[in-house]
Amino acid sequence: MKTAFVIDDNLSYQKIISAHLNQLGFEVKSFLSAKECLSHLKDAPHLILLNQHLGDNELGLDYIKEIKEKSNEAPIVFLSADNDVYTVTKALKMGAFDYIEKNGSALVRLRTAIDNIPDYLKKGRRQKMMRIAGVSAAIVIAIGAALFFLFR
Amino acid sequence: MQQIPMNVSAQPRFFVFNQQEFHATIGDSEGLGKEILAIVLNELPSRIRNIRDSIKQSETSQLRIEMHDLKGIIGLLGCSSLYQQISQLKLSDQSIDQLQLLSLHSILERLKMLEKDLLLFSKMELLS
Repeated sequence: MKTAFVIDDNLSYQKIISAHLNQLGFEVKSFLSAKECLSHLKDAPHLILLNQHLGDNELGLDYIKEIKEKSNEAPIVFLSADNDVYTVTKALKMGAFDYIEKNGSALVRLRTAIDNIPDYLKKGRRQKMMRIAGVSAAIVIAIGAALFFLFR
Repeated sequence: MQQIPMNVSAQPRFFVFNQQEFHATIGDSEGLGKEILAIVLNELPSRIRNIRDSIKQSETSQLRIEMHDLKGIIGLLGCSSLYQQISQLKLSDQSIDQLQLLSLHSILERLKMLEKDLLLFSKMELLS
């Protein structure tokens, strides 16, 4: 079964999102803070829902990079009740897979985001392969050039 | 013989809750709808109390938190006009001006209506 982490200090919202994810076939683990979630990331969840405003003045934005690294690149869907362009842009730039505003279409957007995960992962793998291929090509060229200068 | 108007609907009219928007939000999942209703109905009375108390005591930071949390939940219920009203209320941490106070009282009244709407709707759902 696929696992999803939900990080939100709004208990009601957390419960609703978790109930919906359960219906969509996810086993859900819920956290009230991002700090609390960090030590569980080794479980490699398949999806992480991270809210912007968390308790104790914690901001989800500050944790995107760390969560992404520690969760082995799990797709992070960033949630916020604010429709603030700066936050959206920053979240996506920092590596969030999608951004969902907590409005009337939030659950519909969540379902669409989940449908898009396979493409996102495929794209990520392709980029990784391209990076590896690029580095390998550079190494081969460098060795070739070195040999050329050595034996000419 | 007197004609019965054709547009008379058997569906009750809700004041704040929008049944169509709610169904659009939950998709085909009746179970999810019932779960959302149960969660919201369970916590709405205490939220209303907290907001009322915070207004009385002018606790602006508490009000900000309440409004922020409420916004997401109201959004999920598909109450778009109440959602807009809460979104437009920009509270600072310092003080509440007269306009904001009026808006807060209006939101409070609409939340009470929403509670009644949801109770009625959940009874309808149980009967159906």
